[in-house]
Amino acid sequence: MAAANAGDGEAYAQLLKAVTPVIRRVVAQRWYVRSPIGVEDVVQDVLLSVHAVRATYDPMRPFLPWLLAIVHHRVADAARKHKRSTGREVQVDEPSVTFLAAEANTYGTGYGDVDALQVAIRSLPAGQRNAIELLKLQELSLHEASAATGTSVGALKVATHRAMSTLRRMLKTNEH
Amino acid sequence: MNTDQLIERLAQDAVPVRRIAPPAIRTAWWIGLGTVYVVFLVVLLSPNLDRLSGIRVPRFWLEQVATLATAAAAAAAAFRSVVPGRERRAWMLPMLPLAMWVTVVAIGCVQDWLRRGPAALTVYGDPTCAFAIAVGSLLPLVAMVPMLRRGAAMTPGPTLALAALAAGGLGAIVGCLSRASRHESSLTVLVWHFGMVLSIALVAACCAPYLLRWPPTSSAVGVRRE
Repeated sequence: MAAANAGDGEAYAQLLKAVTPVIRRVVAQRWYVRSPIGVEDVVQDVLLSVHAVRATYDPMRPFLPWLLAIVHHRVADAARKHKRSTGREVQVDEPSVTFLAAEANTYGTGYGDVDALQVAIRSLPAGQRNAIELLKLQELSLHEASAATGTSVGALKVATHRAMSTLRRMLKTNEH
Repeated sequence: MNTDQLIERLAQDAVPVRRIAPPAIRTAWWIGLGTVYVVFLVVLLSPNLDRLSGIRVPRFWLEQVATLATAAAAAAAAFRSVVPGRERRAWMLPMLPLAMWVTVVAIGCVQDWLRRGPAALTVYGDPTCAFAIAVGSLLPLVAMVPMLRRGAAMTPGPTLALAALAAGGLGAIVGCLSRASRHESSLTVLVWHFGMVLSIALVAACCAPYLLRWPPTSSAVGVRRE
């Protein structure tokens, strides 16, 4: 360490490599979060701290108590930091992609009874049936459907709305 | 960045560093300059310096010695507390002189009570003394903070509380010596001096996380951990 403080980078690297297993072992013993990533983070914090306060090392005194004091305090700091951050977190299970209620699941529920729908469409009054066939099945625009049937756009909208309501009611009745 | 890469980066940054002086040397510097500052303030603030030469009560001078010893011991403890491996039980250093200081003042309270009866238990307002203590402790405390920041702020709160105790001790000496007349009662000394010193220590301990931190690590070596 004395050589490192004198600017000997090679001696410093050797020292840090030699003490890292010791630091890792001490941190693993004291660090209460059982995660290797957490331990390695604290080990790196200790190495950075050693580097930052290396001017406090006195070559006349033993090295290990100096190092272990840094380890001890950095582990305590990390534990406090971890507790502060996790204290504000609430662990929850992975949330569902969508709500559980059937009404909310409008997508991905697959097709309904196609035959019942065809029967219901056939049972609609002529004006409503035409509107549904042109606008929903053939997917014409309102203007195209209006030109094809000679019916006004407004009348087509009303007929479609009524047809949809009727179909919804009929299919719901069929389900029950 | 993994640990081996970090070690390589740290080794590349291993420029020569000047070791900070041992706590005893730093304490000697601080208390020496602090004493000069105290003398300067006493000369500046005292309306009647001749009063000091006329004080023949040994307890008064013993109190000043105990206060100075408390300041020196607290400063030594503060400087020790930022040196890894020497910080353990550093807070115990000023306990003996502090106990001596409290005892001397407490003896004064008892003597006052025996001499004057219940009237000696009155605490008089003493804003002048409080002002002198605040002024006397502010600069030494401000001067000590950068000295402490050069070390490892392992226990910022206790370290700065010790520093405030040291500075408050110097301030208390200024408070005693810069007066035009003696305090009305020893209980007033006990309440105002210790009240002020404890208040300063409490405020300092609360501000410690903002004033004392570990020296910057990642920026010091250009390392950003991923």
